[in-house]
This record gives sequence, C-alpha cells and structure tokens, in this order.
Amino acid sequence: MSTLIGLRDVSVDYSGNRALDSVTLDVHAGDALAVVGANGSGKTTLLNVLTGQRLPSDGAVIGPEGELRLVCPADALALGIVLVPQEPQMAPTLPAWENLLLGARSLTASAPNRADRDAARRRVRAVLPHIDPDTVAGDLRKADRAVLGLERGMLALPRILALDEPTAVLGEQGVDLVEQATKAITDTGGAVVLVSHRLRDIVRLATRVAVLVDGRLVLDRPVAEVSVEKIVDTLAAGRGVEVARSRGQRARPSRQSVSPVLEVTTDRERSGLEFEGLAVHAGEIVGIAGMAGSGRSRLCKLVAGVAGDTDGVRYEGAAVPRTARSARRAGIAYIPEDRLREGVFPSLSVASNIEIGDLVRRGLAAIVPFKPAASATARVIERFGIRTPSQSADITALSGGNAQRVVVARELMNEPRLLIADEPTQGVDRTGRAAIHDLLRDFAERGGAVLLVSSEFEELQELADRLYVMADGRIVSAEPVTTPYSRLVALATGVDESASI
Amino acid sequence: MTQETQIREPARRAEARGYLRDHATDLVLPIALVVLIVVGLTLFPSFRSVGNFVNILTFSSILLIVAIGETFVVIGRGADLSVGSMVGFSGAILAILVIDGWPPVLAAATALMFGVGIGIAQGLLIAKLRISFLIVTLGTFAILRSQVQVLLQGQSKTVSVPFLETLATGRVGPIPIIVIVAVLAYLLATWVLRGTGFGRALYAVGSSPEAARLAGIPAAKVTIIAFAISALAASFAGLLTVGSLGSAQTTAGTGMEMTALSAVLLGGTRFSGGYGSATRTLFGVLFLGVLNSILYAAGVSSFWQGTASGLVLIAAVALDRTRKD
Repeated sequence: MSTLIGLRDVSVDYSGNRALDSVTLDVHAGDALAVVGANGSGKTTLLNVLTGQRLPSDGAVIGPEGELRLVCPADALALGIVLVPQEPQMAPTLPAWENLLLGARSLTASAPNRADRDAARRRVRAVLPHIDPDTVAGDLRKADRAVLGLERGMLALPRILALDEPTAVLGEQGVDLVEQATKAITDTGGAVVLVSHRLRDIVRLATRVAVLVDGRLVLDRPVAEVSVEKIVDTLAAGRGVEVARSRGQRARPSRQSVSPVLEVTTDRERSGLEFEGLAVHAGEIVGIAGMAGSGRSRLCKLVAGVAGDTDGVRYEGAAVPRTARSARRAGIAYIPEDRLREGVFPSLSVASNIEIGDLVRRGLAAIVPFKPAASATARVIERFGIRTPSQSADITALSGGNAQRVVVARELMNEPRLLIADEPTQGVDRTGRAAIHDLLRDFAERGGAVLLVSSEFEELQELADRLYVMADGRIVSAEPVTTPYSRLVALATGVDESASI
Repeated sequence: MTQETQIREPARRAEARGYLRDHATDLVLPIALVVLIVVGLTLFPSFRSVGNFVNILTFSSILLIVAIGETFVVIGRGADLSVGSMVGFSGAILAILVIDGWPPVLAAATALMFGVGIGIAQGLLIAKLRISFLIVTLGTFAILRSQVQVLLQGQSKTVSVPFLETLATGRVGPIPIIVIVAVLAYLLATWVLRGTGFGRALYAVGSSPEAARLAGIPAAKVTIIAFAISALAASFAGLLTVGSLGSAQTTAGTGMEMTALSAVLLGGTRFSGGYGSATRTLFGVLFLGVLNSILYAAGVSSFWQGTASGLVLIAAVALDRTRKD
C-alpha cells in the first residue's frame, strides 16, 4: 500500500501545552481512518497539521515523494487535501447553491452561467431535498449547513478528505451522506481522515481507527480487528475515568403522588408545534427523540421562555414566565443546542462565564465584587469537573467538552427545578459525555425534572426514564426506554407510518 | 485525592502565568505613554513645566468624559457616532433656556434629560427594532448637529452660568476642578463596569448578544442603558464646554465622536465587544493628549495632529492583533 500522507514524530506545542506528542502515522490509499480521543487529546490538532492549518513544532509531514511543507491551507489544497470543519463557514447572505460553489472558482473567472447555477441547484436538491436551493445560507439550520459544507468539500475533488466531527450535527440521516462521500473517495484510491466521538459511526464509516490519549497515539488498527469495547477501554484507561454508571442504579421516582413540573399543550397556530399534555415530573428525565428539524429545539426554546411566547406551557401549575430572565428566576434552566453561538461568551474568561449564572439571579442593579470570588469559582470548577489551565483562561482555550461543562455549571449553580437540555453532549468526547451524563443524573436524583433532547438515541435510552418520539413538530409516539433503537429511528424518520398516539 | 493535589499545583502556576500574560498586554500602552513623556521631557524645554502637564490634563478632561461614555457602548458591541453632536446639542439647549430666563441649574438638568432621552431612544431603535447602531447613531449625529444650528439660529450665543464656569475653569489649589470631575467620572465608570450587575452583564452582551439573551440576561435593556450612559456623558461634556468657553458654540464638539472612539480603541477596548475598561480609555485619552502636546512643543503644525493620532491608532490595534497569535 502506498502512503498518501503521513506524520513522522510530529509534536505540536501550544504555549507550553503539548497537544501532539511524537505521533507517527501513515494514511494509505483507500484508507478511511478514524481518529478517536477525548477532548484535548489532540485530534483536531492532528487534523490541522494534516491540512496545513498548523505547522508542527517538531517532526515532519510526508507525502509519497518525501517531506511536505504545508505552511498554509492553500498548500494542502494544491495537493488535493481538503478539510471540512465541524461548522463549515458559509456566506450567510448568499443562496445555498452559491455557497456550494464558494471557493471553487477563481476571482477572475466569469460569474457562474445558467448551466452552472442549475447544476448547483440540482446538487443542493439531491442532498437536501427539503430545502429550496435559493434559501440564503443564514436561514439554514446547522445540520443543513454541515451537509452543504461536506458537498462543497467533495466538489473540490479531494484526494485526501479530512472531516472534523462530520456526523455530530447531522443526526441519523446525515451519516448516509458521509458514508457515500467516504466510499467515493476511498474507492478511487484517495483517503479519508475523520475525527469523531461517535463510535457507532466510526465502525460504519472507517476502515482503520487510531486512538489518541493526551497527544500520544496509543492504538492504530483496522476496524475489523478491534471491538468497540476495546476502543472504549483504551480511551478510558488513558484517562483513568470511571465509565458511566450503568443505568438502573437510580431510584425511580414515584410519579403518582406529584403533579408534573412541566406540562405542554399547544397547537400549530400558536407555536408551530402540536403537543397534547407532554409532561415532565420532578425527579425524572424525559427524553425527546427527534431528528434535526423535527421541532425539538423550538420546543426547548418555547419552554425556556426565550421564544418570546410561552402560550400553552405550564410550569408548576402556572403559566411560564415570558422572558428568559423571569423563567430562570422561576427555576427553569436551559442548555442551548449551539454551544459556540448560544452557549458560551467567547471573549470572557472561564470565571466570568460561570459568573453569568450568578448575575442572572441577582439582576442588573446588584452590587457585585470586582472579581468573582476565586474560591467560589474554584468550587464550581471542581464540582463540575471542568479542566481549565486557570480561572482567568479564555473560555475559547477549553475543549468542547469542558466548555460545555462550563455552560452546564452556569445553568445548574442556581439550583433550578427544571432543566431543558438541548443536545448537551453534541461534539463532546466520551469522557466529557460521561461526566455530563452524571451531572444530569445527579440533578434528577436530587428531585430535578429534566427535558432532554438528543439526536443520539442511545444517549436517551441510557439516561431517560421515558421517551417521546418527535417528528414534524409533534409527538408521534410515547415509547419505553427499552424500545429497540431501530424502531426509534423508524418512528423519528417517519418510516413507521402506523405509529401514533 | 493525590491526583487532585497533582492537578492543583500546576493549575496554580498556570494561574500565575495567565495573570502575567494578561497584564503584560495591559501594560503596553502605559509604558508607551511613559516613554513618550520621557522623550518629550528630554527633547523639548517647553514641554518641561508643571503648567504644561496641567494643560494636558485640562484639555483631556472633556474628551475623557465623552470617551468614557463611548467605552460603555463599545464594550456592548456598538459605537455611538452621535456624541460629538450631542456635546453641541446639550450646550445649545442650555444656552437657549438660560437666555429664556430659566434658572441655570434647571436648564442644565433639562439639557441632561434631553440627552438621556435621546440616548434611550437610540438604544430602543437598536435593541428592539434591531437597526444597526451605525445607522441610528449616524442619523442622530446629523439630526443633532443640524438642531444645534436651528436652536442657536446659526450663531454662537454668549451665556454665563456661574456654577458651570466654576466646574470648568475653577481650581482647587493647583488642580483644575474639571480634572477632578473627569477623574470622578472615570472612577464612577470603573465601578459601574466592574462592580454592578449591569456592568458585568454589559461584557456578556458585548461578547455574545444571543448567548446573553438565552442565558436570561435582559440584553435589550443592557444595550439601552449603555447608550443612555454614553448620551448622558456627552451631554454633561457639552455643559462643561459651555462653562469653559462662556458661550454655546455652533461648532462645539465637532469631530469629537471620532476622537473619542479613537481614544477608546487606542486604549485596547475591542470593537468586537465584550472586552475593555475605563482604565484603557483613560490611557488612550492621555496618550493622545501628550502626543499632541509634544507635536506642539516640537513646533509641528497642528495640521499634522490627525495624521499622528491616526497612525498611532492603527499601529496600536495592529500590534494588539499580532500579539494575540
């Protein structure tokens, strides 16, 4: 097998932190290599080195004819190395089809002619049948933008395609697209390198799996030779974390005695959603299984009081406050879906991000200390297991999982009674996921009510006490958590037409 | 628990490193200011007098008050281009009311209330109707400048308001009262930014307006208050301007929005929001004041002032950008 691209003793240092530690790795023609690792293990750094986003501090990147100097992304592009980031950049005011062509034409080329435009529109329709190709990218959902980004990458005819968390936002239906793209490249002698937390997808998409622990490569095997359990063990062994507690240890809440904390009854005219008595009780985790676009995030925003309207939502037997702030003060916490745009405050430190929770409780007129009390912040950091170089570190310096723990900490520190968690572990590694799962379980055990939305149905099956399947803005079915995975997918994708309540 | 202690020690060291790094950036402008002063002291005899420094501080005071108001808006991810016109406008309101026979204190209070009202209206348009701050404040900039002409009928009016004259030109010992007023405004702003819920929320809104709203921060209210503060500061500066000149000029405050914004950004408060402080603005204002004074002492034509401060602004922000990587 010929090496298309490889790393030789590559190390990368970020201001004293070693992100990659003498990694040697070969990517051969026909490989679909999955790189797995906890947050901060160096996965994204590895991808950045391969695609010319970052120069290694030490070691070399090699191609078939010797050493490559990938100083900038353009160097990599010239060699047919294409990166599709987790959240591809879009020109928000241009239509979807034009975003597909971005970067494909030089600036001096003539504007796309009618045939080019029609071809691009057809391509958009083929991959995103539910949207109009003339919709501007700014109005597209995150999942649709991700699909568009993948297609744009494919149009560059990559020899080596690098995918950062390609399936994280796509939900179940997007995995097919990634699989097709992977096949198309590997079958023609190219290679795919993908970084993912979702082991199920890796088993399906990859031919080889490489495991990174703290910047070191600890496993590199064909997928066929290694079980999912082995991968999990390798990841867990490297970190010394306890693997998530098995379900069933938690005491089930006795539901008869209590009235629900949350009740939703609404119709399409009012909210675009259709619910008849969706209820969440104290001490239970209710899972909403739905694909992207099913209305699950709208449900979350409605209940959290940030949609500007809360008609039809009853919280502790009364109407829900109409503003986010009064909802928070009433004890409703909300973890938004889009961590980067809706969750964290990028220019603020870890401590200031945590402090926001305090601020919401105390209001604008409050007199506060010039700096959040270091000891109080330290307690929160410890309680929620946030791994940060310091309290004053920028939140952007944290890995996705740790940044998400900051958001969870901010939301749970005020002792709410209802938590709405919209995809709380999206793009979070296994270690971070287990930690967040523990936090949600603890919260429920202490009597909190949780409305949990996830496009990873195993996550719901593991955590939730009850499940609702949501599609097209309404509940299509109430299912026990033991429902087979395939049936949940069938219900949520509308494959099973017979199901309804 | 041994693992915990292992984690903690490096964390503490990293904390100290992080502190140094953060504050190294903070120190660049103060050091540059000291260097500039030393250069001035060595090269130019006319620069070497207490009187000269008192002059620099006096001339910087009104700009500092306006720039501090502007700092609030910039931290909240906006810019207020109406402040220069507001300086002229509040002076004009004061003048016509006093000439009309109003008691000076009442006239001054009315001028301030007009200012705050306009600030709130701007904030409402920006936060509630989601019109760009550039459009709203550019429009207000034009409206107020024209209203100055309308109110004063195109002519500067001489007015005597004793308490404003004392504030603007009086002295306590060697120290001009206006410098004390500006320092008090600076201290008040620092306290509001760092020691109140509003101040902390302003940083959050500037950092990510959507995240702030979803987290339960009343983002619209925060933006409105920031614009009200900016307008209040500019109106107050307008009153002091009348006090120092003894008249309401039709050209008062012209171009001040740009000087104030330059001082804010030169200080290192970021245009992208969520980052900055009143102290940074203080150093930005002082740097511009000392720079102009040195140019004057060096006999450079005042036509060159804009070139110098423009170059310094761009250089400072460029330096900040390259340091971040």
